[in-house]
Amino acid sequence: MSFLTAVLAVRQGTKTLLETPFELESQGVTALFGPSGAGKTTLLKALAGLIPNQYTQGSIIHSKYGSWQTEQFLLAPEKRGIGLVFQQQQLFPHLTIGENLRYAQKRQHDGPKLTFDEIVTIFGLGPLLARYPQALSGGESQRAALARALINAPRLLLMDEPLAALDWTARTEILNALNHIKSELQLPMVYVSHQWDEVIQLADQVQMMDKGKITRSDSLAALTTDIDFITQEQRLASAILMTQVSGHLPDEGLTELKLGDQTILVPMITLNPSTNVRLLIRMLDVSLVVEPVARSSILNTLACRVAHIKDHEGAALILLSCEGQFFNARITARSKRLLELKVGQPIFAQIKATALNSPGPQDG
Amino acid sequence: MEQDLITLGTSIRLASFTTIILAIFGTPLAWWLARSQSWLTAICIPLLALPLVLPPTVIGFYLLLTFSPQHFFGAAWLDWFGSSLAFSFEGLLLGSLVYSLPFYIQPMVVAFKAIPGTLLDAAKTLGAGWFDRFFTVILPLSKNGLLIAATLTFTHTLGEFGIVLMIGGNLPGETRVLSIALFDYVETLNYDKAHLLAAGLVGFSLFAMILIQWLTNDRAAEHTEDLK
Repeated sequence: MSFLTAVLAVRQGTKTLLETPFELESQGVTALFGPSGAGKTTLLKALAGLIPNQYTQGSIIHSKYGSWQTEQFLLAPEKRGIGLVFQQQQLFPHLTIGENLRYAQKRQHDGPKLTFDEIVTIFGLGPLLARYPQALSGGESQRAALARALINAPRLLLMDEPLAALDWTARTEILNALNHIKSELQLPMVYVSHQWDEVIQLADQVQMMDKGKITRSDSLAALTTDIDFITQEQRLASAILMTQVSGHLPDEGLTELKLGDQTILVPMITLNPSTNVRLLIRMLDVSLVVEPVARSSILNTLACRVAHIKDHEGAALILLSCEGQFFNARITARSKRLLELKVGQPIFAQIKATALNSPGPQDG
Repeated sequence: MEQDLITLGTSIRLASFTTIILAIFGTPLAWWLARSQSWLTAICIPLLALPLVLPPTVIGFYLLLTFSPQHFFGAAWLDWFGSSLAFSFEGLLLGSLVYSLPFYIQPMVVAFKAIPGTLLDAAKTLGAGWFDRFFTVILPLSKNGLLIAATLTFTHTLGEFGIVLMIGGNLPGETRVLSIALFDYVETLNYDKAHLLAAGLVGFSLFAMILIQWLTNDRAAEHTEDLK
């Protein structure tokens, strides 16, 4: 059920920055995905009520709290109960991290919430509470900003490329924390990004934006099985497989995941059987063999079919279909010739799989 | 000596009232000038800066005309309060407010403009209404600007001479201030007393500047000490 229904236009002079209908699901993460300048940030600001009256038109109706915006009326941002996190410079520099968090706690909205201590633990902020924002690294600042937004108990969390300025390690940490939050709180979130690999790690729904409009809205599961969509540039480097916990092997420190009829082993994760788990598969962590290798240090071999072959910067990208889902392998042109790969051919993929910390609902 | 203490009292009273009144009314005005996109600011900013460049005697002259009972404003004041504005402490205070306004407004506008809009957006979404934001985010972040504005206003009011001479006259306990008293001592060749007042003002101004330096530096150090 959609809990936010909007029709919005934002114009500055003769320039139209945004003109689109928009609907939001009442739970899970909705990614707004599109190139820079597509209007993603503008849409987020309009939802938060941060675009001045004279530039914005349209309506936003919340299924539970009524109108946020009509042609005559604009509800002040502080009354919308929204959490907002953007790229940088949002922590109050005159307050320590702890004081920043308390500031948000004192002004809590009525959305779902965790305790102060729980949030501090999830975002690893314990050692940083007494510090001032100026003394924090980029990743630490973003963790603190997200924690502050969540302690505020928002009804809806909006994130505008919160990881854009960060390195890979910091991004992974934060994505894990967000996945954790997602499983703990029934909090709808909107995540703006132009990085497909962030989107697949977090989103349940994806809304594509271009030139100020929503051009497509679909579940992540539907998009990741759409070959035309995922074989486009920049969506190839990593993919996800939606799996379920089928059992644990405590002696070996492993967890068994089920992907259709096949089994994948990952380092132990503490989740109950039949819980959904997202597996991140990076194309450089996949190698191909014509028949299963009996003795190998690689634990997981999946029976797949070649779904698509694409030449890519002197190498070949092989799109593999496995139990109805897709991921990529990047191999050399020489390997491609030696393996004599053709579309439709059965093949075995050896993968190193990373289970993303925590699952989300698979189909929204 | 007793006369000098009374004069000192008048000066301090004038400077304090001017600073407090400007802090109350000048601060929202400065906020509006710093943040509004209205075309009115384009007129108001140069208009409010005029006292910086005009000779004080020019301002004093026009104020004197305005205060006179022949003029609407002066007449209205006389009707309301039963006393004339010219050559009174209240008149002097009004003059000081006009003359010191830019010294308060300019540092505040600079300070307000330096606050990143993202911080205000963050405060809004965290649920802070306008007054809440003003006292918990805007003022603390403009602390240095506020300190400088208040000190400049105070010391400038203490040193004001031209306007005082035009509209205040030289009534002990009412409108005689330090700068006028100093002028009197020099005119009557009473250099010892002149030295006392002059050196006192130099000492006080120096103290004020050092205080600002110390307070503004101290805040900066507190925010960056984790980096060391």
